[in-house]
Amino acid sequence: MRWPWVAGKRREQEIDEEIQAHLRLATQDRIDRGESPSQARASALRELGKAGPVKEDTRAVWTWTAFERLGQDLKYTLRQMRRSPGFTAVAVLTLAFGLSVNITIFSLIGFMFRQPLPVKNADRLVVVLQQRADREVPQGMSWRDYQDYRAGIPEFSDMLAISFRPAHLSIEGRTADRTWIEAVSGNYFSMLGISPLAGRFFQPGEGERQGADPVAVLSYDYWQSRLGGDPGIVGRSAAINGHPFTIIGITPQNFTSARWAIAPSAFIPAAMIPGVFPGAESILTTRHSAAFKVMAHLQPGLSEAQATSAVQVLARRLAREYRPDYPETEAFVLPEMLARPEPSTSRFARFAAIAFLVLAGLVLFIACANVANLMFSRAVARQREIGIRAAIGAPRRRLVRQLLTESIALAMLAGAVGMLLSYGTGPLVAGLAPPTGDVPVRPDQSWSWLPSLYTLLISLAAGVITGFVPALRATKVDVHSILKGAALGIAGRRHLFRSGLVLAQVALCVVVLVCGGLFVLSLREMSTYGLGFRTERLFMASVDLGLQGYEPEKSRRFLDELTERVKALPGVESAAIASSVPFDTFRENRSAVSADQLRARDSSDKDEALEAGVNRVDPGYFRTIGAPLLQGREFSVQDRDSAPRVAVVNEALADRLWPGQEALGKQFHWQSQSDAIEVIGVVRTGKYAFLGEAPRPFVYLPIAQAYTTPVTLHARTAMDDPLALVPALQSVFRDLDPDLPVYNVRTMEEHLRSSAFAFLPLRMGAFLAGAQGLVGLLLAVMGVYGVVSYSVSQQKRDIGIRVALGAGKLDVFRAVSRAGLRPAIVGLVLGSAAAFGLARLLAVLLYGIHPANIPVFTMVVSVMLGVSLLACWLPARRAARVDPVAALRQE
Amino acid sequence: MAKGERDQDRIELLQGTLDMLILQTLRWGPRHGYGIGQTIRAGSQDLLQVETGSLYPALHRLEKRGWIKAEWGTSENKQRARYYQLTAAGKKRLATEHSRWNQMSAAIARLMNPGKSEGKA
Repeated sequence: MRWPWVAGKRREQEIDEEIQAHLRLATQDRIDRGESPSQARASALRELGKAGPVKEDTRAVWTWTAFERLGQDLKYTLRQMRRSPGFTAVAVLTLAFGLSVNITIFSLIGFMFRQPLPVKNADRLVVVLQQRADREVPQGMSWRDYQDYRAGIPEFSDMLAISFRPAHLSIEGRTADRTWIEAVSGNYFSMLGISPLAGRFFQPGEGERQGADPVAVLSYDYWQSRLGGDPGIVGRSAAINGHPFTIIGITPQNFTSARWAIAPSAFIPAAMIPGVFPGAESILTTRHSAAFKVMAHLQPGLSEAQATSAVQVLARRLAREYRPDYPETEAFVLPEMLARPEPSTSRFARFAAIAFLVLAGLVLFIACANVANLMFSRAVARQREIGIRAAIGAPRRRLVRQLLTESIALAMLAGAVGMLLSYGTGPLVAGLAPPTGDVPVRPDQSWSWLPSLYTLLISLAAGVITGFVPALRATKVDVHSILKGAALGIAGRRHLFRSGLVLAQVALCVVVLVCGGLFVLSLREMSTYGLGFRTERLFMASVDLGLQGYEPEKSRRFLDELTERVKALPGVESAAIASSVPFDTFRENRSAVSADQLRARDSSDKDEALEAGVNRVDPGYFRTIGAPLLQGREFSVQDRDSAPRVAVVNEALADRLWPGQEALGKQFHWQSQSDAIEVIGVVRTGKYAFLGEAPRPFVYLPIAQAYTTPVTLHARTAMDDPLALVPALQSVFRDLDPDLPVYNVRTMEEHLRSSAFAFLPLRMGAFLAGAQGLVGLLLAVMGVYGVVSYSVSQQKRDIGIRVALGAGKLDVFRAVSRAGLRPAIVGLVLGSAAAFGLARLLAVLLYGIHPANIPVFTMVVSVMLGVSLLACWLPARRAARVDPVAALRQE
Repeated sequence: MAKGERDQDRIELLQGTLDMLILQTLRWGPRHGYGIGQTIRAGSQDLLQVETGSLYPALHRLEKRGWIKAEWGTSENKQRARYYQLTAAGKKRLATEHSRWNQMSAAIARLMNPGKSEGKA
């Protein structure tokens, strides 16, 4: 590559030499004519004038050539754009759509996976996960594991542990807030390199001994929103679940947590958990529950793979040492940025991210193909102009560059518009972001240059892609024939390129539309059947009596009173209490998944033990949630603590424990308990944890016999908007306990829509694929239309002759639409085949429908065919109106 | 080409004409800058004097447009000089310019001498 300024230097020397040569020649000439050498030289110099300006002027001819040329090309381009505003608008908008989809997806993904946390050595921060053989998703680890890892893995410079918990937090006697806090290892803040905004953080040695240090750090957000940024708060007292703590510090504003987007309200030492959280008495000593998320800093220069093999060794050793508490376990580390939004589901998140990037890429490709098509037909229209420029000596390189400048300028403009568009659709997409129940989050939407750079790059790429082939083909001109005004040089004979584009567009569009259709259908299927309960007009609200310090007896009375009062509210058909809600987002609430072992009674065979989900419910539950019993009876008030143990099971469990037999009246027991439990009812198998899950064995226990906290009130209402119940419900709660925080007030439909484990992935899929499909459809139609219009304009003379010879409208239509319909139909066939292949890959995400769903395919194919015909018909109609005389005279 | 007449329109016109003259001169073979100037001067019987300050920018402009190309060579009296030569594009260009010149000069002539042209018609 020759740099302009290097070339310029050389040029300057050359000009200098040339002027010197001129002087020598002129002097010699004069000497030859008889002047004396000195006189000759003097007059030659005089004649030359001032050598400086000559050199400068000559030099100026070459100055900034590249930029000057670019300027010329741009000026020319702008003139072209102004001359055909329609073309420019269509091309820019088409590309802008395609680019905007990509920018949005990229920003979303870039924001999620590329933004480092504002902590020390964020690039070396990893999440350590254990995958137990008996669990579906990887988890964190127990406190004892954490201590072993911290002592035993030299590959980590330090490790921290977090237990994220709901808590009732009150400051100096105010009403408690139900919120979430992090109980952390004492090195939490020092390892992350955070300094307090006010007060101090945990000191070395603090939080080591169980229950010894009741100190709490408040988050900036909580301090601001709940305490109005009260400067005197440090040193004052707070109550967590009714236990006294001293506030020792405030976090800085830019820090929320070591975990991405999570914004806990307070931080306490993990050693304080046992006394403060009911049911967590043994959390520091057991290896059974993986209550802690563990993060570590890699030693400088070490890779994740090295750390993974180190933790792997330790996990295997621990599993060997501590059986049966500890089943076979694999451990691994993930860079923190890739472990978002939630480490245990990050594999799915990354898969989804790639899938959407690919889909967005397809849409951009369709858009590019379209604009290339437009550029091409315009290049043909401008053939004469190009011919003339070629004739006056513009080299082909120059012409290609001119056309490329035009397409890149278009694409850049489109990039700007696309960026605006994706800003505009930002809120729309943000509305799809996984919600978090009552977990406080702070989406850190700080500006990043990455999306802008990405926009620039893909716009540039789009410009080159759209412009290159048309430019190459359009400039392959036969100058003479064009100037003579004869038949056009290119493409008049064959439009393989354009047909290929239309084919690809239609095929891609079919793929995207079919995927969108499958998502939408799957969503509808899912919400109608398969969940195992009725979703409409169901109201929910949660309370945590344990955190509020209720004894089992007191909370039993409270819940009985609550359901009675709620049932009596106008508009409420029935009400019930349950310990869990299907598809709850947070593991901490999902006892349904981490069930105890149970096995059929009288069976000594260990293999017959199986895992089952469990929900503890009150007598009104099945009626309220709309899950009719297939056999047996519901729970009644007689199923008290003192009564014989009973349970309702689902069909999946019945089939597994007693295949081919009547389950009613059979007994089973939890592996850890001796009491036998009798099956008194059977319900249909529904969905409990994930939409895509295999039939999961599930047990319902009467809450009276299996006390638990927290619980969720379910109320089936007669109202279209169950949330209208809120004011009445508030007064009921106020009557019963004014200090009790109520949280997760929502309808079941809301909950399902927004749960990452329920409809959210499908909904996002349907929305994105649907939007992309519509854009793709629009683009494909424009492509077909373009090809047919072009073929009409090319065949005007033919058509004229045919009409003159008496051809009917239908004949004309058939003749011209062939150019558009043939590639469209081939595209339909290829696209359907590709869509079928892709749908089979997506089958895991689909519910209740076969990937080869006939209605979806039929619908997409007929819609595509319909719009293709329409796109052919419009220009063909124009063709049929051709006046044969005028058409022939034109030549 | 009197000095002091650096009016913008004038230069444009003259520049175009100079370009054409240079191309025309080069039809007879490669020449260096000084030679081109001398040829134009001699060919116009000293009527047209090409200033160095116009000649060299014009030569380089033509070179840049690809109508002429240059290489270093040696003159008959063993002087090193930069020789210019017409390219294919330059020949085409010359033809275009020439016919345009013919049209223009005819048109100007008609305008300047209306009586004559009427008489002819």
